[in-house]
Amino acid sequence: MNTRLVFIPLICTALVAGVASTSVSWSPPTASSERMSMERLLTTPQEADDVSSRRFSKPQGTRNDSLESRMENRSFDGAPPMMSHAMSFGDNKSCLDCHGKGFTMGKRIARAMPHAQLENCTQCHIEQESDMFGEVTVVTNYFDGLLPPEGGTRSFEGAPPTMPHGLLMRTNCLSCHGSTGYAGLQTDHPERRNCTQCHSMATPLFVP
Amino acid sequence: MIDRRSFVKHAALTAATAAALQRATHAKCISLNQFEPNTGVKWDKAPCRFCGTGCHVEVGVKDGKVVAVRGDQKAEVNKGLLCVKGYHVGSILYGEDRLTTPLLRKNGKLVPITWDEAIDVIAERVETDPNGFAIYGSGQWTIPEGYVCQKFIKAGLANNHIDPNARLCMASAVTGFLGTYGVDEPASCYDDLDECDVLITWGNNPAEMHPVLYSRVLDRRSRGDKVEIIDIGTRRTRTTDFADKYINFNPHSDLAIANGIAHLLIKNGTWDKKFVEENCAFRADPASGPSLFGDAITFDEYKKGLEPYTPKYVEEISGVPAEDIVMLAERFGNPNLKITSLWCMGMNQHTRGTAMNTLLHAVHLLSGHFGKPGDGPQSLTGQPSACGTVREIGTLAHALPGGRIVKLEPHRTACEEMWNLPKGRINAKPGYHTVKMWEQFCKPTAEGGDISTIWVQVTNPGQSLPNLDKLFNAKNGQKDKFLIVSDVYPTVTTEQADLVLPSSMWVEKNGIFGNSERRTQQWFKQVNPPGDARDDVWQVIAVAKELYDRDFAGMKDKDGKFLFTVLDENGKPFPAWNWDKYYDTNVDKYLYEEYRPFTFAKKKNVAPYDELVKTRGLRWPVVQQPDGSWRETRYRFSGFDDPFVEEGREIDFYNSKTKNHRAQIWSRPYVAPPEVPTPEFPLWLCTGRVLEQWHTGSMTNRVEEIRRAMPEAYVEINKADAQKLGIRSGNMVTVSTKRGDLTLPAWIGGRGEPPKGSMFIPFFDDKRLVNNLTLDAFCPISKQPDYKKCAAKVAKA
Ligand code: SF4
Repeated sequence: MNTRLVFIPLICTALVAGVASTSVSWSPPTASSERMSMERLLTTPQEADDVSSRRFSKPQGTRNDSLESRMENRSFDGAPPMMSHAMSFGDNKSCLDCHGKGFTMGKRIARAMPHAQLENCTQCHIEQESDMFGEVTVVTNYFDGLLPPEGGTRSFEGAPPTMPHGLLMRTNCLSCHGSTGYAGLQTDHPERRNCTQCHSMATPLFVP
Repeated sequence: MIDRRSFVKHAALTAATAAALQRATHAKCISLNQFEPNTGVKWDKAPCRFCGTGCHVEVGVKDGKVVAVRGDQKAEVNKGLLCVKGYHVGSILYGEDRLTTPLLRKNGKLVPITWDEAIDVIAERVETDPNGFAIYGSGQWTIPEGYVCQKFIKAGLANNHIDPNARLCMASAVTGFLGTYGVDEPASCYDDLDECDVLITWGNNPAEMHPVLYSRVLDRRSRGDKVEIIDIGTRRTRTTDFADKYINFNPHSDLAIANGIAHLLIKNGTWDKKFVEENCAFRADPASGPSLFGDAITFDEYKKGLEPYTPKYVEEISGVPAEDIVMLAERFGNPNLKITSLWCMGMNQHTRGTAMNTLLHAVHLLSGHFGKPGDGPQSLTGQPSACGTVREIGTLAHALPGGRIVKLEPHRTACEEMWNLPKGRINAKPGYHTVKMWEQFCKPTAEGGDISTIWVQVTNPGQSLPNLDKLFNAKNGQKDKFLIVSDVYPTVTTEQADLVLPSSMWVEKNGIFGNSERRTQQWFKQVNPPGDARDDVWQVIAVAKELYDRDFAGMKDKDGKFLFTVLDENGKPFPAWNWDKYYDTNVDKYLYEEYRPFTFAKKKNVAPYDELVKTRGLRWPVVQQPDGSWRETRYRFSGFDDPFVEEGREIDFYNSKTKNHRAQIWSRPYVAPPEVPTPEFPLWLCTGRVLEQWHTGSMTNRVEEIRRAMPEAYVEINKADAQKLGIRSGNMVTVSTKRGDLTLPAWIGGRGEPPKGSMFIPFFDDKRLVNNLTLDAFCPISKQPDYKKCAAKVAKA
């Protein structure tokens, strides 16, 4: 392994974090400002990956397919995804049974939630079809939501790409980028857990 | 802002070794896909448009349109989190049926007219009957909007007929604070949620209505903090799902529960003697009936009043097991616990709303659970600026800005001086409160209905008033009555309007809100309003100017100058009535700074505009420090934090009605509700909100994601009641009260679960107006109606 390649991004990330906190309007997360520190989650992504890869058929498709399907259940890039299935309203907590650590069954994947454990799931994620309501007519709305960015940039060939999106309170990168993540977005090195060590945020759009 | 992408590249280059630099140069530093990540998006701050929580969002604007929204991590209120309404607040601007041109009813149809014509029409209505012209506004008015309307009515027309929809939602909280502390608005703040050991929700469902606040507590728990959540309610809700303990009480009997707790605190000697002796006095209603300030009573009289409220007696009234009353009293009797109480509509929309509010304050004061972080009562508001606009500016029939009232001569004089009015201009007689205003509007002129025109702004009374047939629909067909509505979408209210004015909304205009924790929050205009929609502030100033030009005396100050003279940055008079120039100066800032001195009298000092620009809101009183900086106050009346507390005092109720630094502990008995189930109408009916839809849904219904999740009203029925009537989930049923009926689907075992003998219907659905059914009885002190309980029946449709 080329040690130089590992070393350089490390410096980059440190520099970006240091300078950004004083010179851009939105400061990057510090250990204390993150809702949940990396430490709290260290087990989760890995476990999620382990647990869900047991009975796992690899997601198929291209990166663009994945981005498109991601946009199908959210209003804009960065919006919380809508529930892709009906839920029984009995218990708001049952979401975590599948989405807590992630769960797969055949081709169905319930991705692990990428953010810290927030219990009131339906505060942000709501049903789009339910047992209770039938056909719904909607008013035409001309809101034109922001599309996802394309991939990150690399300082040089072989360097780790920058993160083209912000964290938005998400700490479990493997939820999308792990082996049960989206086709074309998966990492080939899920065993390395401290993602932001090498992948720094690259865009003024999502500086959390 | 630095372009971070190029910065990253730059940093990478400087950090790289020579060899790596060479490689980098070889690779030309281009992105993998030759793609510029989302550039051209401009981000700016704004408070969320919806609820009184007052989350801050960052608004992403591209090509003149809002394209994204994210939770603002710099905002203390929400620390980056939002609820589903907040995430979709950008979409509310773009529903296809936005109102874009003024419409006047001609031969029964609304037809487009010009703004000049519209302004003329309004000016004529005022000229014809200045005393019968009223404004009905909103807790969603921005501060400058409320301020110009307040000035228009109180100083310009001097008839005091201005009242807001907040009357339907916050009035009892206001009278509760006034009666207890001599001044409105909470002493504590949301920081309590991060500190409390026990959280009690009183008839409150924050998991849906103030989700970000509730999550602040749940989040603590999932991080391992110990917080006990006790939900006291009349219906199981999503809040109950997360509570450690649910206490169900018979509707209206919360009065008895509060008295039961106080009874035990005294009986067990667990009340905080020192706190009460130093800081409190006792109060009761006079024999003549309910009163805002009441009469002083002795401690012994207070004690005597509580004697009947033994746990057993409270159980009889409320249905709450005696041991739960004992448990609550134990919590309050424990000085080592920090207890936060939250409440909202359950306690306010209550025919004894003022009494219940004062009783909850009484429990906190009596037990000394007050004035420390995590320890105190925190009232929540439903609307984003019920506090900032309605309560602080006093856009109510009896009030004047800064906690003043029209009845008091010195208060009127102070306002007349600040507005440079001739002495005696402000009318000492309070105008009509909401229910009365609409009653007088709907009543034919010949029968004494003396309100001839109402100008509605930022609200939807055709859906949100109680007993709609009587208070709203009865206006129909009366030729001499005229309804003006400024709004952003067609609503059931605009459907009946004679003149509709298209308004700008949220980030289409400058604005300032004030949330439930005394936090004043400012934002700038970020996109243009559609078509010919214009700011509400402009609309009022334009009408005032037209009246001034027509020589209407009320629109002149005592020197004959225009009442709404706005100065630009250089101190020169600015034509704020000229829409083409309106944004050449910051009219909002000018009006806010004109208003700000009004807040000093009651020590509610709001922050200067320029300080608001720099922050995600500041909690008043905001006081300048010797070094020139401005400091906000988290805990009002507490010596450790509030700069106005007298030196050396731990607690100082400096607005005390009795002028002796004391808050009032009220003695108020349980009284039966005005309408109870009967054999004919055997069930309780409660109405309320749901997470996704905001109030009457006029904005959220235009958001596809929200509409799909919560498209229509339903009635929640208890399983046992449903079984008895043979009703299954999804069946169409008809719910009736003495006032009307409504057909809608039944939902059993749905989102909430009303106990046996009761039902719940949300009020957001404009196709199924539940307020045709609700009671218009109101609290005798606050005049706030009760939407939470009336007698009803249900049958298969
Ligand atoms: S909690 Fe209220 S203020 Fe916060 S995002 Fe939701 S609706 Fe907006």
